[in-house]
Amino acid sequence: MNRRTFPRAEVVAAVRTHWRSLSSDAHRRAPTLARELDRWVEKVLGPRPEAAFTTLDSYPLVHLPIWAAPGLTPEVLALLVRSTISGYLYVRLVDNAFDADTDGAELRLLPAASYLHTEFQLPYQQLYPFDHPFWDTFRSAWTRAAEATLADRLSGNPDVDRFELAAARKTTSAIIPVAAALYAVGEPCRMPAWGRFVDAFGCWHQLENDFFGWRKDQRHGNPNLVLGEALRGGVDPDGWFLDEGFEWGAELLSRYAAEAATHASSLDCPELVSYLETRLSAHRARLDSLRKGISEQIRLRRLLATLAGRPGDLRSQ
Amino acid sequence: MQAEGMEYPSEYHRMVVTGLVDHQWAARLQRAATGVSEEGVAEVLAEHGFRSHPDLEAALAQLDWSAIRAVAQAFNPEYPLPEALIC
Repeated sequence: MNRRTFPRAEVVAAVRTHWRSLSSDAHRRAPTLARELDRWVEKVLGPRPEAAFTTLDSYPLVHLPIWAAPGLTPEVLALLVRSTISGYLYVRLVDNAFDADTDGAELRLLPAASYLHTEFQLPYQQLYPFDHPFWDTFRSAWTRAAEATLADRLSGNPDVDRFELAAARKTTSAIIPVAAALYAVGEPCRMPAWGRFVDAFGCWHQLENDFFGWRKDQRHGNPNLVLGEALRGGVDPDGWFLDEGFEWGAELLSRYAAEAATHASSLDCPELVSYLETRLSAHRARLDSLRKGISEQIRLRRLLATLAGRPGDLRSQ
Repeated sequence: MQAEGMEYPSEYHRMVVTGLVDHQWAARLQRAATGVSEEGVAEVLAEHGFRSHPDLEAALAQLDWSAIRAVAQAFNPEYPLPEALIC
């Protein structure tokens, strides 16, 4: 991938500008809320939170509109970036509170969710009147994501079919800024193809979360496909993951990656294809490096089992 | 068999292999397994009453500990650094 194409300079600049603008607006309108949000954002996104939106391993939310509509004006791009930053923080705040991923800091901050949601929706209201067909997409995508999030949480650890129907659809609201961009350049007919890509990429993205986060989800009692697969077999998840689960997950990730790449290739968007190649290549390299560790952990486990199998010989009396 | 309130060997294996830590002894073993060396594991075993197996240290020495550590960290995102694992 040409390093000059990701992240795109104008997107990075827009994120930086609107991060500052959103923060200063919040401090002016709601200083207590802004102060608490600042603390939380730094905790979950790090000391340079704005950078998290344009790193290779994050969901490319702020890039999707300009990839879908290269002719997007800077003014519209700015509105979509501002909306997307707020929308991401809104979803993250609610998800963290919902998933019990943290020590409850998000519950204390829930009143800020209404502020973030307003900042998410207002830019679209600047772009499209109430009766514009964009709002049909907005409503259906936002509703679908909310339904998927709730269904996923309430149904326990999913199997692959349920994962594809629920968990993987939690990110489908990413089609909203893409739809806004396509309407802005007069190409809404391209939305179904972009929707298929967003769904396929969502499968891969969510499985990657489940794959690397299954122990965390186990500790917090959150639904997780990898954990569900282990528990359905009635085996110890840790041992199963070393013996079978790692490769099972890697194979499924590979299948979802191939589907996402196929849909991307139909979009006539070289930058997206290039981004995916780089992202998936880094992902595969990570898996390859971890394979060595998995085999070494299996050796360690066998060694310790040998030790444990002869306690009388090995342990001091 | 119990060791400091922890069932041995299954819990011990789980702690060492997975990086889950909630016990001082397990934390030390985990630290050895993820951040120090094969000698660290053998040392902690010895401290807790396990005589050295004739081939144990040699077998431990043959393992790729940096690879083991990488797996422990990759699948325990809440504990990104070995220091965070220490009770």
